[in-house]
Amino acid sequence: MPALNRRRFLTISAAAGAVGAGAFAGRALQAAPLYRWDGVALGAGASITLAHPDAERIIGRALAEIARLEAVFSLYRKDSALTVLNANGSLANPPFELLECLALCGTIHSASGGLFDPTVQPLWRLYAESFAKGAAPLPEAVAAARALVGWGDVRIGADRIAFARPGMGLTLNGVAQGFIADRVAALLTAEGLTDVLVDTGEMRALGGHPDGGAWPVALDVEGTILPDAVSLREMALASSAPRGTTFDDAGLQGHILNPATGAPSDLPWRLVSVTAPSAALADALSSAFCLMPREAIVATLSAFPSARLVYLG
Amino acid sequence: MHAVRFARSFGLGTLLSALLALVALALPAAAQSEAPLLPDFIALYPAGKLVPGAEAYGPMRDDIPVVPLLKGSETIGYAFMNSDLVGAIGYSSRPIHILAAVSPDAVVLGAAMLQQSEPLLQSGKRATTVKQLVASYAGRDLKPEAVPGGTGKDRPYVSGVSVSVRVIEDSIIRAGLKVAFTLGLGGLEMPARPPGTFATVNPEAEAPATWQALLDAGLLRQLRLTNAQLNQDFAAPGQPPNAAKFPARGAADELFIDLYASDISVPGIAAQLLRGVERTDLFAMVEAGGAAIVVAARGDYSWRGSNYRYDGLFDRIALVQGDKTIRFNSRDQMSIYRLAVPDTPILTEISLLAIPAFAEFDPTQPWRLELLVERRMGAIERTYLTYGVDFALPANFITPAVMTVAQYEQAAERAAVVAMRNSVWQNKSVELAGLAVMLAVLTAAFFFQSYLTRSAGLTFWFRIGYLGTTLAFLGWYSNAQLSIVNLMALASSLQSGFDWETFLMDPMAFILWFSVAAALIFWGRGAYCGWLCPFGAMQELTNRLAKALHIPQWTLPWGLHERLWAVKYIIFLGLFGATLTSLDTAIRYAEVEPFRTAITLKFARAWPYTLYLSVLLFIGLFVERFFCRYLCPLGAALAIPARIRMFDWIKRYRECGSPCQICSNECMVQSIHPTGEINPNECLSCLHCQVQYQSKSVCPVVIKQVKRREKVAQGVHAVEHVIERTHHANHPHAVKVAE
Ligand code: SF4
Ligand code: SF4
Repeated sequence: MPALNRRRFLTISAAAGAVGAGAFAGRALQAAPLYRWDGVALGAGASITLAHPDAERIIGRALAEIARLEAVFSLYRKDSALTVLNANGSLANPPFELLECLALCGTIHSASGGLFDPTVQPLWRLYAESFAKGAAPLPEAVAAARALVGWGDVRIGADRIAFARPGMGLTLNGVAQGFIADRVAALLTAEGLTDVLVDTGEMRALGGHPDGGAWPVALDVEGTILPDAVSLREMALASSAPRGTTFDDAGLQGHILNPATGAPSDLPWRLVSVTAPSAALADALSSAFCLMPREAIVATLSAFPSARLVYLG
Repeated sequence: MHAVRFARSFGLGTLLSALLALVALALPAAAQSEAPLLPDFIALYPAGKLVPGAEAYGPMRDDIPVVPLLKGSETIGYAFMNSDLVGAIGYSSRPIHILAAVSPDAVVLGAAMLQQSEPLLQSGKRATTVKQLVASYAGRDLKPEAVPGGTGKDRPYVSGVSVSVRVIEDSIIRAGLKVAFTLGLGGLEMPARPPGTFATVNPEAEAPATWQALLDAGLLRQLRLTNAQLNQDFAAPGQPPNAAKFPARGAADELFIDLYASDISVPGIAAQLLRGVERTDLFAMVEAGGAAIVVAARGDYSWRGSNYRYDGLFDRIALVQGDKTIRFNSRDQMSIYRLAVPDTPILTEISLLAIPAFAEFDPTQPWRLELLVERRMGAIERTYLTYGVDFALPANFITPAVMTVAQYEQAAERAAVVAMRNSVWQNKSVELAGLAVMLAVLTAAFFFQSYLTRSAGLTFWFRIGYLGTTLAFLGWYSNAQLSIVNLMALASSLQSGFDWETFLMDPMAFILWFSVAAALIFWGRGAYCGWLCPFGAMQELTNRLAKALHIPQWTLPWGLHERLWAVKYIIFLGLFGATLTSLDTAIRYAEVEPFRTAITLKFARAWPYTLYLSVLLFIGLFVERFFCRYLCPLGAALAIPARIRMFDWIKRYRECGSPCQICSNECMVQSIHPTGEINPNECLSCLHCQVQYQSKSVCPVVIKQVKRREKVAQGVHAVEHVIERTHHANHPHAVKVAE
């Protein structure tokens, strides 16, 4: 019995979806045909779309980078830096990417009044394991797990990351996909590419569509596709669907947990989409917003003038 | 001379090598390139003292100065000297000699400091402490150290002797890793990349001679960050609002860091950036298959940080290539004072950082040096940013791969096959020489058969001798029995891709087959079947014995005999057809040949096979060469092309067959038709009928001739007498004319 009822909740890139191999090959102005790679990053569907004569080699480098970052962030890999940190309670000489990502987490944590909190991992584990056995967790168990949540108890240093209390854990699922999209985009920029769409579950557009114009992106609101809902140019887009992945088969217990109550979000949001200059920031914000009413979202956004709420409903 | 400051222990040694050269004469110790010291030191230090339970040292390996540690006949570990394998120069500028051993699982079994000249360690409490420290490495697992940069484990502290302690730690671990990787201990293995299958650094490529030109050529990459830029980055969305409240110390337009990076193990680049002695040190530091980068910087921010002083790891830089992140340990660092290019800016932190071979760094692929910038906001709050310098070697510095791994493997396979073939041929030299003599003798016998066959006795004993040699030497000793299986393998290889090598693997069969092919053109199948086939020889010799014992021989009626001939062709065709479908089944059917039982295995086989063989030989006692005549598929195969032979060596008279039947009755395989002509498909060239052909006592034609000659001779004699009487010796030619 699956612990999670994973639904298709992520945004769909309408443009990328329409791109067949060589669909644009005949265009006179097109130096190289549009190349699209489809695969998996951090357990979610991923794609990279670019136009370059040496596309395959470049994609190869991007995939190596994704693999390298999965070895830092993945909770599904036994040897990833994050898994080791969670298992041992500390990690010496942490990877730079982990430090950078945690710095962002700290920022969003305070900006969201503590609602965005990567230390909900013990709670999340409790929910996943309980529902896997077919029942919601007992209130006492939830209370015990909630006692292990506390961003302030994570000591972060370049020489060592450590939890103040045993049993604590981190999940970066609300931000790592965006972070990886940013790193892949940086690598592609260093390769000299200008017009690329990186989708690692969250999207990061470099430039616009090689055919001109922005990258048109569709949104998927619990199965209803809103075509061309967002135009991305030199911008990142992240979406969170609180009930897109649920702990229970009925689809009621969403996967985004409120660290304050220890329970899944009780807000009505089906999809929260945010654009920002970096995918990691957009990802963290969209995750945080799942737990906020509209007024709080608007208030939080005022601290991030470059970020925009593009869908809430 | 003090242009170079060495953080790295053994760098100093090379610098002082001139001094050392003098000292070295008096010491059993010196640099890595010299004869290993291991044998001298193990002679002084019993195995059981190094590792409890060990009983002896084994012989030293050829590839690396390492000796096995033995307990009885079991190898429980491997002993080595740190100073044989890696630099181990201490504070004294002389090596600290440590004998150590690792287990097959790459765990240090024991270590002992055997000789050192450290000024602070000559006696007293410290000396004892350090000795204990060395011994305490027993139990240290080297596997976790096998990551670039190492574990950064805390180095033990002994006051006042930090350099010596560092050298001890570094040299034991690095030497141990070298042993583990070379011997494949604990699952550590050097990546095997066959030469030619991957791109390499072109050692000939030359780099320009100025700083600016190096930058322009992309051989040196720069990361330039002003305080203003940094402050701006720390104010970006996503950074804690607090970060902006703790700006960089210096003025806005001053350098936070100006960092340069390059691949210094590229000879062309090293030639410009380093001085001669530094290059020597660098090449001593970089192990085969490894590499090194140079990181040089100025500005407010130190890329080295300070943590490395405690745990060895530089925690502000990392090299990223593909899916690998490589970090650096101060043990793999050599710091230098100034780069050699004239217009170098004044840089404050310059280090050469070695990358071990097992890191699988590929100098021909792009890499990125990442710099972690930490901003402290008060006592505990920190935030981080990373910057990167991308490096990619220009194309003219890269020698592309010449072949793919698959091609390499194919070539290697081929070379192995050729080597094996050569050794097979060498091992068979006695057999080959014997075969050569036999072939020469047989050729001579055939060429001069008319002389040979003049004497019935000579021919008989020659043949018995030859057949005996064929059976004993070719057959039992050399196993050189041709078989229909050879032809089946050939046919199937023609289908699937012919390869000489397969056939060259059996030199005797190869030569025999070639000789047989040549003989077929001249003489037909007889050269092989009649003389060189060991089983044929066995049948004939046993039958000779039977004849000598007066065992009655059975001559098949011609009509039956002629029809039975066909059987062997049918068997041959059957086997051939089977080959086309499956070689393996066909080979099983080919057991119709008793050769393996009789020759290769010398009767030592399961009873059905020996029974079959015995039956054949038994029948052969009464019907000479029963198997050859009617059953042998190989004989059939050789018989088919018999009619292409160029010469009829077997001579006949017009009278053969009509009326004379002597030869035809005596032919051992009944290959002479009653009508007189010889069936070349069946004749085994035994030469018996050629003896008859010349026999003055058997062949009626010869007998008649001799009689006629005698008569003529008498006539001539009479005439001569007359001439002699009339002409004396005046006309000697007349005699010849008359003759
Ligand atoms: S017929 Fe066969 S067994 Fe007889 S001599 Fe020839 S090859 Fe040998
Ligand atoms: S006797 Fe003459 S015909 Fe018969 S096998 Fe010998 S050589 Fe051939």
